[in-house]
Amino acid sequence: MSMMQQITLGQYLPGNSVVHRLDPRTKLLMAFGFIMVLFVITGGWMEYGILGLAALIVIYTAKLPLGMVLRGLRPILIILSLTIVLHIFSTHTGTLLFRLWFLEVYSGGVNQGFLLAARLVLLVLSTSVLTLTTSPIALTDAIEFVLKPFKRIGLPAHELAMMMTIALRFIPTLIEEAERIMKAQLARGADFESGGLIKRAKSLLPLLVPLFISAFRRADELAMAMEARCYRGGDGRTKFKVLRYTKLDFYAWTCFVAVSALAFYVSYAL
Amino acid sequence: MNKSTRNLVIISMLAGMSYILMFALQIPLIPAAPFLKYDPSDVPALIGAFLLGPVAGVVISFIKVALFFITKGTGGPVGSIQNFLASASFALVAGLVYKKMPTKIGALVSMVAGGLAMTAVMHISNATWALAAWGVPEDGRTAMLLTMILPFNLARMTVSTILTFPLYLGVMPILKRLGWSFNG
Repeated sequence: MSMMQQITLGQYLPGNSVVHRLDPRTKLLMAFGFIMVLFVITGGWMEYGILGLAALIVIYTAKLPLGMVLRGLRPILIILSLTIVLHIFSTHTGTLLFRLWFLEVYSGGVNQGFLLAARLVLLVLSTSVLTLTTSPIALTDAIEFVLKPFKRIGLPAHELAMMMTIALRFIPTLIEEAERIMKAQLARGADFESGGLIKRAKSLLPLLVPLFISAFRRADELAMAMEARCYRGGDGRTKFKVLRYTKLDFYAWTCFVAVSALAFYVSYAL
Repeated sequence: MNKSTRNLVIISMLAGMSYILMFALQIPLIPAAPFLKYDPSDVPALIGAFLLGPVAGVVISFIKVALFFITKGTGGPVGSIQNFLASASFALVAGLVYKKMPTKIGALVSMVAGGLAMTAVMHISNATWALAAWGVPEDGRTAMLLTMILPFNLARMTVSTILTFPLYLGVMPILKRLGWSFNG
């Protein structure tokens, strides 16, 4: 089925660059930090220039194909252009550039529109680079680490990471299962791709009911297998791959702090 | 068998399903707002909330978004946070209402209540920070909230309910026949 083939698990590009070898916790926290910086600084072209240059250097060091990175921007293309257009026509500051019938375009509007677009692009780039250079499993580990401090207020960090790992492992299986059920129903004359919204939604039912039932059955079997291997939750559990910080992480944080400090300096002191 | 391990695995499966459904179908509901796309990923979260309680619905929503974030990472952080808030409020309120009224009518009522809660949460969060984060200018926000986001979320509630209700009716008797019991 065409729609199922479009789902590829992750966009991780394996590699051996410095960025790839950084601890996933470092990369996750840095991506969050980058987003924070983007929201805290008062945006100007200088600040975004510095952060954009830093992002480009990271992309270059990670040996990521630029086209692939830019493809990550596709989902926000519509809202990006909408933002720019809305700003161009609604912000009336600066000098009047030209008048199009009743629409007046001011330099301030153009500037503001593209500034906000630049911020949006940087926001998306930060998470794109993160997922392009870090495997989903490594990121799950990192998320578990980041959530651990919240255990005290009842957030089950280990269980959440465990569930993410199980879900990741079973997504391909569930897709296969869905394809099989789909073929079986097509052989019985089911029609999944024609008609309006309601009809298409209805046609999904003969697919979804067996899919859910089989997922529950799989869950039962897996839970049994986990119990048989004495799974008792997170307490006292050890890891096969233990995350360790290296010198690289120290250098990376130094660079990160330096770049953020520079952006703050330009933003508030200049 | 220990119920908590089984519930943990069931939640994982439903979250995986939610992730798949997020990509399987993405259609704009409101012609004027092509960037607001509907996906049926709320369906497994709602089923989870009915079977395992409201918290399960929230957890399923969280894992769906976390998985999307670590595998795709596209669309940036604002979309991810909004997606979680929407799904989680939908499933949480639906689960809470269904707990009080665990019947067929109750399921229907709970989904409408959950959908209205989602619409309210999305309205508030878009009005307070999300639209600003997307860079929408201030004087355009109110119009966008009322003409795009409000109708979109109501439509999202309707389609999700239309999908989930017959699925719930189809799945429940089979699970009962297989001798499964769910008590939170």
